[in-house]
Amino acid sequence: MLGLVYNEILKVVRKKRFYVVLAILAVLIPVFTYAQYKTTVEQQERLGTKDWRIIVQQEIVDLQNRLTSARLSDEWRRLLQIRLQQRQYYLEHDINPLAPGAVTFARVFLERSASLFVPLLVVVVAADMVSGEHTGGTIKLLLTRPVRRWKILLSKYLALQLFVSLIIAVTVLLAYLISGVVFGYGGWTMPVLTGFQVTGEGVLTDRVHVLPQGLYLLMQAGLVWYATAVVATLSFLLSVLLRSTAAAMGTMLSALIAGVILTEMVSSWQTAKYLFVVNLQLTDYLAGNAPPIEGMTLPFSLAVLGVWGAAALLAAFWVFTRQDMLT
Amino acid sequence: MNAGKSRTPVLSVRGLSKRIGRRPLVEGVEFDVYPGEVFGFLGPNGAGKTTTIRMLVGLIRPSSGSVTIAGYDVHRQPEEALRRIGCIVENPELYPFLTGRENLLHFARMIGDVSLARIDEVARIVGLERRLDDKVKTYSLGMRQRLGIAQALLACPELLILDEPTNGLDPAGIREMRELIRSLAAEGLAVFVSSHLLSEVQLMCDRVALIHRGRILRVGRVDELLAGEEGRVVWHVDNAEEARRVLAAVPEVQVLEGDEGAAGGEQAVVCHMPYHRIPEANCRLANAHVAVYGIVRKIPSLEEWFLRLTEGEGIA
Repeated sequence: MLGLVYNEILKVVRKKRFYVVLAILAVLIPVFTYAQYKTTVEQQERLGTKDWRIIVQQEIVDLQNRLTSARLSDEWRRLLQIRLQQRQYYLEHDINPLAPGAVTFARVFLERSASLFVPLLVVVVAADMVSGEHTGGTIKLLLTRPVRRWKILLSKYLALQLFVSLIIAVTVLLAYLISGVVFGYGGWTMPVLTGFQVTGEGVLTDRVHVLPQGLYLLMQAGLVWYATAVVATLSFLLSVLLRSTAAAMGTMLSALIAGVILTEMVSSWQTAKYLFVVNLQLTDYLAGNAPPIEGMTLPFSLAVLGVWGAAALLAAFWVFTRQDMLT
Repeated sequence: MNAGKSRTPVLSVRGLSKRIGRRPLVEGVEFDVYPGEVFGFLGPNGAGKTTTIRMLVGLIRPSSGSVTIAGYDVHRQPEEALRRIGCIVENPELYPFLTGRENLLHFARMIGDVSLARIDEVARIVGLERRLDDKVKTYSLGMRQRLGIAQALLACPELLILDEPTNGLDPAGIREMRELIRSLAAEGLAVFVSSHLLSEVQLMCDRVALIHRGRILRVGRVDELLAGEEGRVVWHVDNAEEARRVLAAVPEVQVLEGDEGAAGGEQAVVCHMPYHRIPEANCRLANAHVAVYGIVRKIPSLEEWFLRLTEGEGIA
């Protein structure tokens, strides 16, 4: 089995798919770093200060002003109230939520990439895992070896999950290393608040506690890993079913992008919470942001994603071990 | 090389059928392949050759019937059965982004116990040792074909299944491939070769199965199947008119119209005759002072031959 997994890893690396992922990260992270830098500088210039308390205070005032507007939808109002309460909590406890630093950048970057960017990178590798063998015709050689089909598929799946972990690790690492050049490499022990409970009325703060940012980042990475592993499994199924890398990638991309759009507009469509794409932003639960649909909780989202992933994995094995290789 | 005939077959196919929906692709295919023989699987394109081969190696599940390799059913005990065969299905498609050696290592890891020395050995057998560390995408078709065979030989199989092994090769490559296949069979390997060229099967195979429209027409020794198959004979002579007269007088000879293959200053006469009449006919021409420059046996084309074989068998 180890030899089989090694084969699959070798093929992904030598096909240069993983290098494509690395290249995308190496180009985009400096771009985001620069954008973040410009925003920070501009904000400081506008307020004429570097004191974060004044910046947060200003944000609170902005939020309060917006809340007075009569034309605000209920949903927006709730969101803004949550944000306002969080800001006030930070200020009261003298914790700077915006403290610049490579760890903060990595945390924010990972949070923003959780539902689209990281899954996209994984799809690049996952969509080709099985269909690549069909396109190249090598599936015939692969399946005429004295190895059961389920073992071949399992070796591919294990290799894929290895790359999922690697991609997330590399994303965090590159975000830290590249942004550190500008923001400095500190921030591991900076306190971050978590445990906000979003309810119908607002935010409950009785469970709120402080975590060192390094630990927070690790927890975040774990949640992103879980959601991305499910996306990888679904792409893997498509790769088995469609036998074409382009078709599998296209289908998965549309689903992910549709998910981002849906998340913005489904708050009144209750059953949409069972779609996997709406549940990908697991880091929201950690940060205390409002979920896309009322009543969604971390265990709920984990369960929904788990069911989707398990079903896709079963389907992939069921089809792959039975299908005729006619072409 | 035919010493193995009395032994048990390496490959045994019984009642093999594949239907997709209600359309039959292959119907009731049966044959045996013995150690040490080259077995031809001959049929026009679209006759069901590839479907049958894919069932032999477990890529397609048959609708009914069985494929047994050295006593193991390919679909019930695939690991045991597939360990004993090496195959190339259609084109030898290997990983173009890996080197030849990496490709062989890749498949060696799937088989399990293959030594590094064996990789060099199979590369030597197919004559690829000097290019083994180049990427496969730089290989010519002939080299890919040879790497395909090297890959098939890796596990020391008892049966080699090759689908159109000379496809796309130049004449020199075709001869080399033929010699390689014969030498492998001489070492006791059973080789199953599919082809749509009668001439190729004649040169390479001991026995042959003919498949047409998904059914096996005949199985037997190549020379026996072609015996009684009165081919055309072309006589290259200096005086066609006289030759026609002489040849027409030989028993069992039917002189045909046309002069196919006539070239330069020569003339040619085409006859329909059994080959055992050729010496007699040649003798009579010599006695009649007709100069004979060449006698060419024209093998019937596969389609022609099949047309005759299928006549009156109700396979229309």
